[in-house]
Amino acid sequence: MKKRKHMRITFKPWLAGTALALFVSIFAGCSGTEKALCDKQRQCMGGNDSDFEACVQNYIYDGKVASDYKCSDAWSNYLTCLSSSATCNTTLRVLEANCGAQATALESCKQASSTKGSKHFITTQSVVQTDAPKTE
Amino acid sequence: MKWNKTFALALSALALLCTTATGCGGREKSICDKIITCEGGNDADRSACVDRWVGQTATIGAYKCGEAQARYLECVDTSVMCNSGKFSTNNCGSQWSAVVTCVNAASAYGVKW
Repeated sequence: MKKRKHMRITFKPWLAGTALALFVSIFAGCSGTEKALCDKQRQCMGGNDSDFEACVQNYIYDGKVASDYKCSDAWSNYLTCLSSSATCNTTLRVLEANCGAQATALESCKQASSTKGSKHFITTQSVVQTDAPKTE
Repeated sequence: MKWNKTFALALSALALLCTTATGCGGREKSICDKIITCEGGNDADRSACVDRWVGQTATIGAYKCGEAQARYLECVDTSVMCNSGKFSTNNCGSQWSAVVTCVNAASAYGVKW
């Protein structure tokens, strides 16, 4: 009679550690500032869980676009500025931040890397804007 | 048996990556290839274009409007026109309206477009 083989699953700490690191880097590790900023936005403007998630995704992909143009440092400076200086205008219920210089530096960096200049964001429809803080 | 386990693990990791990262935006890549071919642009422009479109899909997905977005992307991808170096689509207005309606219904404060 043929012996039935059983697959033994053994716990391997290194494998679990690698999986956890992968999970954290994908889901949490890279979006702490974005989440903090979107949390501020939610406190200021209200919004449901979908609005919060959309806000986070918006910032994450803005960061990816900046990275595509090798402008991650400028993006990081801009995001840090937004995160640290954005305040809620309680009358208008919008976040406001004084990060114009960082926004300009980021834009200049992207335009310098693009052959399309100021038209480097190319979509037929406007991309979803979830009320990012206004910058001067 | 060991190889099967490794293969299954690799497949799961790939699936996880596809659902969470930008790696599987086939429709968006196709659209951006057409845009870049039409309007020009370097490798950074191509990557930024894909990330911009995939990001839009992710944001819309947060509102659980992925099906409407998929129909819109399909429309754009299949009806793209290039006139004198300018990319355009004329026939996807109803698909885009469906996306906007879906997102606004799911958002607590409406979304600016």
